[in-house]
Amino acid sequence: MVEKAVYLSDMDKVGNLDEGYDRLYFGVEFCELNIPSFHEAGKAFDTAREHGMSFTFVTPYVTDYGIEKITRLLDELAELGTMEVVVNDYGVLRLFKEGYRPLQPVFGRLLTKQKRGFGLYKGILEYPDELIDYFRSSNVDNDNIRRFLRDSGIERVEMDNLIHGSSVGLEGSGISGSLYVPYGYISTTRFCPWAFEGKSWENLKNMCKKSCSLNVLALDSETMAETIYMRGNTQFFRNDMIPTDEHLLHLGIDRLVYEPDIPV
Amino acid sequence: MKILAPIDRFDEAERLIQAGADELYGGFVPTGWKDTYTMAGSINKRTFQEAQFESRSEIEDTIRYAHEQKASFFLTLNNDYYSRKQYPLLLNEIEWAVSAGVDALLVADLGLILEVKKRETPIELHLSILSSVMNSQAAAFFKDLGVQRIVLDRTLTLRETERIISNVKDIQFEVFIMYGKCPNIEGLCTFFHRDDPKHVWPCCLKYTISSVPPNSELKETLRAADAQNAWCLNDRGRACGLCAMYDLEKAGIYSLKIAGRGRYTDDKVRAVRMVGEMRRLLASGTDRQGFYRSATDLYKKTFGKTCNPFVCYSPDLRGKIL
Repeated sequence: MVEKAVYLSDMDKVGNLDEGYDRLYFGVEFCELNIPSFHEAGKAFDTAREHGMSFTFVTPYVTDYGIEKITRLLDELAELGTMEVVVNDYGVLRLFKEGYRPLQPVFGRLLTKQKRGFGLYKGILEYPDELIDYFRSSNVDNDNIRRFLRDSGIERVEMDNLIHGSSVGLEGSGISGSLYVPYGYISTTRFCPWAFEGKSWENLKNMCKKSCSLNVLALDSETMAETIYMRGNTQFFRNDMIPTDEHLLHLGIDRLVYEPDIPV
Repeated sequence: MKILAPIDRFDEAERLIQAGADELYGGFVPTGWKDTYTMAGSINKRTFQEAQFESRSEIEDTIRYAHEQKASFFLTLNNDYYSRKQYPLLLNEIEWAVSAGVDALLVADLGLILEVKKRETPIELHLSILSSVMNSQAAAFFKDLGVQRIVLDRTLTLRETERIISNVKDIQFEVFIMYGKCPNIEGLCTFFHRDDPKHVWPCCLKYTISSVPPNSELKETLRAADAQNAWCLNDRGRACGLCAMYDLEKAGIYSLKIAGRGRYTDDKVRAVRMVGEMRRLLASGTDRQGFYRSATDLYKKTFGKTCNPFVCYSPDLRGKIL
């Protein structure tokens, strides 16, 4: 059975939650300036419960500024009840050494290393099979990392649906996989084109108007076989070829995370 | 503060060390690896031969010379992960590195760090920028794992850098100071740098940019499109953080890294000289504003133009230079 989750970054969308999902992902992966408040996270948690859905809170990569925000949030979220927390920064993962018992850490897709950009190019099949095999693998294939994950209380890893395919096999490892569709992240920056204007990150904390929510950029080049989509500070590919449930379960992936919008 | 310089050939060692480099770093793709994975699947992230030593023996000569000159040599094995099939070759490379006297491995893969520690391999581990350490907790995480040095993410502001160093003691920190400023967070960037002879990477391609949905061209969107394309118009290969050295030394940075494996020797030597000149000025006890002015003057004198935010490693200092 493949669990169906929906991933929302915008609070407005949580209010109009579609039926048909088992789980709500809420939060941000790519921008510490957009980390939801406890009020917003709590409201999303309550909305998920009202719809009979499980809840996963998503956290981004962070500086010490974000670590402080997330530390406070985890303290507060732990009071709400059982939920997953997707971790995309080893610093945030380290916070879990402190406890947060009702919160279950999940290895986010920024920590799951995959060669996402390989499949964007034209002519990739001209490379040798051994290289393509490597580009289909991931750090979560590594036995040391699997042991580390289990020792850290992590039972789930998040992955992207690579255009050139994935050979990650989690079945029997004690770790389950989630696959994000249809958008896979490629790259992220702190020089957010929506806000940068030659200013430093320090200034952005006070100046960012969050205009990344207005619309998305599409980047096309003759070198690339695929359009790159950019929302805020992060670039994505789109892959609508979603594997069958049977194939996913064979790979040890038992959850699909649908992104109706490109995440923040 | 030490100066860490890139090196690709033995004959560069003398010039780099005489110019002021205290530490050297370089890479080598073993023949068996190259035959199987090609340069596009390099063992150390760089996908072109100019950024690699030609042989193990050339590295051994470099190490010998560096040690005679009281300098160090670090070997890059900094892919963000290695597959199961690659491990036998990788471990063979590490075994050779230890026997050759390599002073440290520059690594990024958590699986490899755990493997080296499990085997109790007698060699220092320096955490590559590809591990994206951006906060004190992440630095402490890798310190707990036993790495001896951390290269901090190049997008951190001075204040963020100072804070991490003050929070996490008894470990060396390194920052990039010259050349190679990526627009993206390198350790979180999964763009493929293919073995393109022109070295044009996806982050600096000139893209045709449109809005989604179409015709939603708000002024914010147009401005963002311009900002995004500005990266391909700027020579980030001439990135510079010289002004920041004044504050980096006070913060306790151990080593200043020059990017540029695969660049011309003259380019590498020039960067070492620039950093060395500013290090001498710092030692002479100059004041902060005088130091900033000297750094910006040196940049202009060397490159024939003033610096700009796209090539600046410390944009947070730009408003503070009088």
